[in-house]
Amino acid sequence: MTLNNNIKLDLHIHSYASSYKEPNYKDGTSIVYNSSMDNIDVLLNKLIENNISLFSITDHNRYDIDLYKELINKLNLEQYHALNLLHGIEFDVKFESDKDTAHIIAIFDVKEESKEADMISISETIQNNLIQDKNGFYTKDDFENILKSIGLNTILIVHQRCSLDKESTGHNSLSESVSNPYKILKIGYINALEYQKPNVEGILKNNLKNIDSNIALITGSDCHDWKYYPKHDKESSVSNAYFSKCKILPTFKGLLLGLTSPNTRFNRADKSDTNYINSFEINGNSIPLDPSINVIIGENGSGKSTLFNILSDSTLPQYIKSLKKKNKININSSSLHLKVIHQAELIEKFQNNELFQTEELFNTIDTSDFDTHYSAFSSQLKKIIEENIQKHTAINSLERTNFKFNLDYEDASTLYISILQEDLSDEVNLHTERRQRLSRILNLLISEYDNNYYSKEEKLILRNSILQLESIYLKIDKKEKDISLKNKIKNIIIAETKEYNANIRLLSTSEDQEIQTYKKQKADFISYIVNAVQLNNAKSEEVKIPEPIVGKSIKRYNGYVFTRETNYNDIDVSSKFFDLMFTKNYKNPSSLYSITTKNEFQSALYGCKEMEKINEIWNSNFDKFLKWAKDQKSFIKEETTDDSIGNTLGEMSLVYYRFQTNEDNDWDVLMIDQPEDNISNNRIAEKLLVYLNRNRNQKQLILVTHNPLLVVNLDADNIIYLSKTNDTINALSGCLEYENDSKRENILKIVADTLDGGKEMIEKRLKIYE
Amino acid sequence: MNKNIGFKADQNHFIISVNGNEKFKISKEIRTLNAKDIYDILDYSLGDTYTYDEIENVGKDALVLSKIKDLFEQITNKIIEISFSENDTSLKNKLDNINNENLE
Repeated sequence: MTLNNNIKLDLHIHSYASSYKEPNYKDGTSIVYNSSMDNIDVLLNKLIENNISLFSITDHNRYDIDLYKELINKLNLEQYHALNLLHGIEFDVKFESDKDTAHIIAIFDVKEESKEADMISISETIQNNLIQDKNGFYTKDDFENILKSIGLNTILIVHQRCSLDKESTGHNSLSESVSNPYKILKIGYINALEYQKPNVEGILKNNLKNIDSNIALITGSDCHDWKYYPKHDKESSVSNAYFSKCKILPTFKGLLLGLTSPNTRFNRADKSDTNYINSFEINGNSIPLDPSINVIIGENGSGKSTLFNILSDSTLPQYIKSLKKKNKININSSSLHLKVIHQAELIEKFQNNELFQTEELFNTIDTSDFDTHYSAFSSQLKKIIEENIQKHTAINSLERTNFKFNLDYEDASTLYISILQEDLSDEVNLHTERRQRLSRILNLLISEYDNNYYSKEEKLILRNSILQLESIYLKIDKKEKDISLKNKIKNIIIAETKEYNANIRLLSTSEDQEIQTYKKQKADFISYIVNAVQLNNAKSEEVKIPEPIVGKSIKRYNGYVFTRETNYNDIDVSSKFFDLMFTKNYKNPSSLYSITTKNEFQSALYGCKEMEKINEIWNSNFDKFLKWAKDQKSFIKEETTDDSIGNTLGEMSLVYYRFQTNEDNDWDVLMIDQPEDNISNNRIAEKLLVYLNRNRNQKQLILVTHNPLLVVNLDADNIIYLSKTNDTINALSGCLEYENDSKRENILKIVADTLDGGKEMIEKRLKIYE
Repeated sequence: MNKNIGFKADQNHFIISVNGNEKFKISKEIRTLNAKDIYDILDYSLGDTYTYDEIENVGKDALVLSKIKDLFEQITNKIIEISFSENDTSLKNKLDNINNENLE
């Protein structure tokens, strides 16, 4: 079973039946004299010689039924098996009374099963309306009544031998016969325009680009003297006839599908390489695959995804392995590079923000600035809360602190010297953060300095800046170390004096111990008061909420802008900080500053049930905030249009498909299981079909789909229909123009019956006149 | 530098000297010393070392002073072992390289 092919066609050949209208050669003989029934072999051999597969005899307002019958007989001969005949007439039609006539080729759908009757119907209708005068014509109404009377599906191809904007050239073109040719084309009255000179095709393409209608452009030989085919006649100066090529089955339906999707069917390049899957075996049948677009359709549960997984050579789960074995499915794609996108794979990648991750298309975002600012903000806020609690606790504790003055012990002295510790406290090392920040700046500058981007002069400036900064850095580094040394010494002194005090207490007499206790209590009492006064007089601090910080990265690649953005990017996220950190009455700094007890601090901290866990919960809440803030969203923008692509799964999927179809260097076959998922029909028609179409001449595509757009509008080259009965998968395949006969199924009927909206899509596409 | 610390007592005070200079007096009546005073007496800078004079007094004063001397020795033994690892050595290396680089 073969699929459709790129074939040559010529639907405009005259015979002797046109003689009433045609002029004679200079010697007085008719230019159609050689084009009679006696010379059929001359024509057929010329057609074979020119590799024509599909042809029609289209005489001026005539249908020579005897000639057609003889042609049908001849085509049964093996030597002419490559030739296929369509039935047609070239009509003279006057659309508007003050305009010239248009030449319209009508091709009729003469069915094999009713061939005789159909041919008689054409012949009798024409005979009943026969034009005798060579300048005679049919009016538009006459013409339509004739078509109605013939009663067959009809394709109309009208002459257009010049620009649609030219009104008078004497070629019986559409533009010469109607006031507004665009209008008649827009409503779909005509299936195709027939041009003759190749440069006119370009002009017409340009004319038609603004019409939202698929009008095919086709050429025909207009041969009148078969002996000189493909020339018009003996005296014609045109020697190299150019034939339209179309990827269709050589039938009326094939032509109809070709004309209703000219962009996908006409002028297709012959795919010469072998980098595609030719066929697969299922239950002993060989199912051919087209080098271009193949779609697998069928009801739910018919085995589409099963077949897809087998064809894609994926690691198969056991139940698919057993289906493969049971249905004897075999395929050889080992030497090919397949790019496979499984069903729901994009959903999963989208949800995990991994749609483009593997391609490393997004730059990473440096979040260290954000970390630094918010970590400082968080610690500072906590410090203020704790200092406020301390202050309050110190003043409150004074109310409970008593000291009993004992005159006897006031002047009493102990043997050993007591060491008092209250004056020796740690110094806050303000230099650490400054040194760390300078270190980061210096590292950044050095990395720039090491970059070859800069000129020698610029490097010198960078170097001087680095060395100047270094001198500041070293000073601050020293200051930090000095404070650190002081704190270490103080810490050693405190530890050792504690040890000392404990030792001399053991060595002291009972009276000395009492005196020491008294003196310690007195020192503590004084210390409480001094501490409370100091804390109370300390300047109340307020923490500054960090300014918005930029947190995004941009990378431009292959026509797209890949942007990654953190939640904190350039906005104030402090309200989210308070939301995640604190309970409802403490969502701003001032309410947090009013906290006076540890108990209140615990209740202010979100999720904190125990006072001992304040630090732990603070850190864990802050980590949650950082995680939220640094969470990244990915956006993709098309560079050329500057239209920001939406962030929905559907839109991202479209970009993904476009990207994958553009990046076609590393794959031979693209396989997608349900590419339509999550994409609206409008966007499928506007975008997805375009992306997939771009690859049809170069690559093989295998799609599983439920959407008729991806079958009918994409104009799939091969449709594989699956059905399943008790684990036995049945597969039928063919191109859209397959019709019921002994070898083939009616694929369009299967599409209409299987896919939701399939019937409507087919009706919309096939503009035929019944 | 080396700092030699001596402890002695007179009639009313315990006296702490550094390198022969009287540095601090503790009243025999009050007999207290602040930890901050110890810090100031030691006045440590990186690289400093400490030695101690023998206590010449006798009796109770010698007992008191020997305990204070023990405390100072314990502290200084630990202080002289303080060391600092370099902050951000990789930055320091990079800066050294740039300093040594000849751009001409």
